[in-house]
Amino acid sequence: MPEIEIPVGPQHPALKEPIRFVFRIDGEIVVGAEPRLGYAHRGIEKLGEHRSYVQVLYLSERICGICSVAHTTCYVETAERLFNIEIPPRAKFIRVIVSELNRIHSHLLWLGILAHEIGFDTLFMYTWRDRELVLDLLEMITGNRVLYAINMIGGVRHDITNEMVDKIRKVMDYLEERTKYYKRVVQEDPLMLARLSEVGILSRSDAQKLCAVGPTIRGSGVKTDIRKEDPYAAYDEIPFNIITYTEGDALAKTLVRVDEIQESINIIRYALDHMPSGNINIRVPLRPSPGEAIGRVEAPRGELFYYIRSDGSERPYRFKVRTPTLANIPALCKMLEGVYVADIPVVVASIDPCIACMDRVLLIDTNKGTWNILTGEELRRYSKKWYEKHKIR
Amino acid sequence: MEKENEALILKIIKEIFGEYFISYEAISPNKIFVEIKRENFKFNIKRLIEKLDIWHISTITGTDFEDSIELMYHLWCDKYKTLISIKLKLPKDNPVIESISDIMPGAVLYEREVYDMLGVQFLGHPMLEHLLLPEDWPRGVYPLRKEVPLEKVRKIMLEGSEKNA
Repeated sequence: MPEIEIPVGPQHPALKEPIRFVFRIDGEIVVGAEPRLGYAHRGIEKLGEHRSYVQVLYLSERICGICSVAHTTCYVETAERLFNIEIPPRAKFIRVIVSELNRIHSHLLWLGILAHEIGFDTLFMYTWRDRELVLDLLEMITGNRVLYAINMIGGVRHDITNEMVDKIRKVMDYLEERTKYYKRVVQEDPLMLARLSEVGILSRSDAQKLCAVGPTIRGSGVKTDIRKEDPYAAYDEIPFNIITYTEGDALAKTLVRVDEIQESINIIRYALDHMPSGNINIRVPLRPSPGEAIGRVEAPRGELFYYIRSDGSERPYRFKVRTPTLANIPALCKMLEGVYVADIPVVVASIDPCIACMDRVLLIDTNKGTWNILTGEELRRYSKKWYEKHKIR
Repeated sequence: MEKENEALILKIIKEIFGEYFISYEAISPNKIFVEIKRENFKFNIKRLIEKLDIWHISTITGTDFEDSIELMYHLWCDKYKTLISIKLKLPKDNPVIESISDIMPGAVLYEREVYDMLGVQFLGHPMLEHLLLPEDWPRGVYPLRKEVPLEKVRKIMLEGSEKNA
């Protein structure tokens, strides 16, 4: 049977950003996937070369709305190396707390989206309700719900007071219970198992070869985490575990993230207990001396990479960003090989893409020369119907 | 421990690159920069990867200087917990280098990005096409080069969208 090409994307109106794939399919099986990126490319690297160091901080925050703390943390850590300054210890702990709150909110958001993709909308409602509590905490600490603007070159802008500590602890206790419940749902619910288990498998050797990052590679059994191996902020003073699962399927990636929520809760508790007192920021000069610096941060989606080169002026000479989703795209294409068309949404969701779309699907049948366009909603409905009909598992 | 690792890695790097080795700099703990000559690049990088058990490339950074384009391969060495950034300079009138995407498949999109933004040709790359720029982007305009002003990028974006309307 001849192979059929299906372009998927690039637009999605609601949940995610645009990306396009061309899938080659044989019957119901995907045999190859070719990505086309750039629909959300805003030229931030070029723009960064025309802005001052302080302005680039706000620019970097706007690269991603979900993991914005990871971006500013990575930027300020890189810039602080360039300026050759050491920030106060309390600021490092505040960075850790806000980063981990951000990770919890990101993972809960993702778990909800995954549930939605497989038609489990009850779980979607639950996780997004709990995520709201984390957003409230972030609003309490930073004053903002999405772009927190807490990091600055030389420290952080807001302190965590004692009343805040009590509130954070209360929410952490509640979230711990919820996380246990979510883990049970993921491990026991027949729908979750049917749609996630043995779907979109990424082997350990492929994950390493294709340089996957974050929960995607940890779901394939590779023990790697920037927080441990290249510590920043106060992560070298805080004990925590790197979560890995060896199966490499969508279920393993889900369990990695659910367990990471628990780890984040533990990190926050430890950081609250051991927070040093003192200043939260220091003054920095306007211009760094000429030089270059690299910063790496474990964002919720994996390794985030910044490189800044200074020529001694008040603007960066080169400002380079590599986000974790780009690193996971080659691995995603590998995972998509051999899956059913009906599983495409769930496999794409399994890397937690910061760019993804299922909006317009163009099905071309090369035999008949016919084509029709499906919306993301129609593809989702198609996938549910297909599973009802085939009762594969 | 860090100092020992650094010395060990430096020794291995000098051994592998030999006459192609130019300079070495440790900017912060566990991050080192190594500058090399571009000749014999792929052969040497393959030996480096094998010798140090490197499996992860973080990204490739391209930077435009007046007469050259600098490439930087950020390789993570898990064995010695060190980020090794291999630097090399390409002449701006003929920026060509061998692709490493067959020995390091994770580099395939990073090479495409550098090609897209700075016009570096990677010999032997499986699919050297636009990755981030639109399909109707004018040929020979590489947005991250310093001679391309911000205004020109804006103008192309504006005219492109008018043409498509």
